[in-house]
Amino acid sequence: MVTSSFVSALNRILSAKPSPEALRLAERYGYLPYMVERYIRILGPQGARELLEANEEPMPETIRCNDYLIDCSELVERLQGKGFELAPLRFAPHGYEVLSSPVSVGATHEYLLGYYYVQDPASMLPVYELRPMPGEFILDMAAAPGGKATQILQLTMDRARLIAVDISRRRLRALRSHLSRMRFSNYVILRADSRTLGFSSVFDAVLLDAPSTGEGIIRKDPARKKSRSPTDLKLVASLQRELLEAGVEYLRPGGRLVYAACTLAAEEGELVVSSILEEREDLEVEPLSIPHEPGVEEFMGVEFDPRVRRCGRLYPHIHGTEGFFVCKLRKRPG
Amino acid sequence: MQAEKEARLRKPRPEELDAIMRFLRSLGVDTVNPPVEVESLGLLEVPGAVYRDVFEVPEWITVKPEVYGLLYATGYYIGLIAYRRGQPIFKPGLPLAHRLSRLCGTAIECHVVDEAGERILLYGKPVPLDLTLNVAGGVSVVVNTRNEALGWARLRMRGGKGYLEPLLDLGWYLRRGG
Repeated sequence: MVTSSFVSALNRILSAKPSPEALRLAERYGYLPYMVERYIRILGPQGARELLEANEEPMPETIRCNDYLIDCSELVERLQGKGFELAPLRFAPHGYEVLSSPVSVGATHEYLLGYYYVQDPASMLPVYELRPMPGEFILDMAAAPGGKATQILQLTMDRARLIAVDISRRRLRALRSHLSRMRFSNYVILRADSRTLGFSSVFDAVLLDAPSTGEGIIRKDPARKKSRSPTDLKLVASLQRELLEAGVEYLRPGGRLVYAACTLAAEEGELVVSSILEEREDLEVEPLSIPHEPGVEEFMGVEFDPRVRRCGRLYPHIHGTEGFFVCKLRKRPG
Repeated sequence: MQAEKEARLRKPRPEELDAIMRFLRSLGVDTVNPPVEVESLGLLEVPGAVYRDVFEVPEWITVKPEVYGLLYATGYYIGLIAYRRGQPIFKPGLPLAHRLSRLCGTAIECHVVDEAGERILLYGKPVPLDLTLNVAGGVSVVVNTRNEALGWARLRMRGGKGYLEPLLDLGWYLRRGG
């Protein structure tokens, strides 16, 4: 359940008036002003300009090699033989940037054979942080279309016991196709609202790649510069908060949960995590191993739990990825 | 694809299991030691649906049987059971082709296509026999020269000429729209 302090913090943040500089930059780059005001508050005027400029560059196309089926060097060789130019990603061990390709990356025989997944670079990182292990009972709470579900099974060589949940029938079809195409079998797909699954303290690990405003993928979808109003943001943040609360409930003591959202909005990141930390005494924030900028401790006059500093932010102008928020929580043992 | 609130997993009935085994035997597969785990087979039953998806179900799914009602898919997809005049007919899925491709050239006869044949097949088009390197008698797994499974096809004859008629191929993932 969303707490009153969460709602009040959200309202306070969203009531802030954009500065003249935010209005000017919003006009110039075609954003809603409240978004640019956010970037200025978090990054400073210069950082905000760099971010806005980086968002004008299209996202690089990236793939994740499925080493459950093929040695990655063999995949690279095969794709290069077909005229692809590839470069390994800096911080995703199975990731490659597609520098050029003669055909769509989603239309090669290697793709159809399940040898790779087309996935944005920052999206690969939460599962590395989750560190899934063979035999573990793992929940993916918003699993479709399947990038992270397939990655969980890939990293455990199909030996984790994965419950993959999503509510959208259309997206579930894609999830099932990807799991099948990449030849994984140790999973159950449920069509359900992840807030009401009814599990209690059973999972070794939970991944919540939460539905978000998608503000982090403006490089892929420039329409998002204007498509999400503050009202949308309120609804999404409340949903994220409810999902996170449920995810923590499903986690066994000692288990870990990775919360991720494809966004740069503190309302969807630090605020959501801070709110659950304030409510529960059995959670800790664990440091991240991936390159990142720290989470913000204060935003628009709202102070968050200081532990959110251990969460991570990825920025297009710093990391070359989509905008992304990730945080790793652990439930204290018994 | 199918899933509803009322979906449930059940064991195959003897006649449904027989349909699966008949299909495997028609390929030349040893059904005494079949390449599917018969004990693990489960049919996903959705009221009103005209077919049942067949999976090899992970043993741990019994941990929480009450979630079956929300079940959409699980485990290794073997194929589906359809019914014609009440009789079950087994139609194989793509993952089964991958698994059986290991047996090509030894335990079973497979259709083998060259690079041009592979391209045509993955568009879901009939493959002329001059683009094949080996042809099995009827329905079988299609593999490329690397022995990678590409799908299922049937040998057909028309006007004195043979060709492989695709039944299900990997390109289906794309043609269906992901």
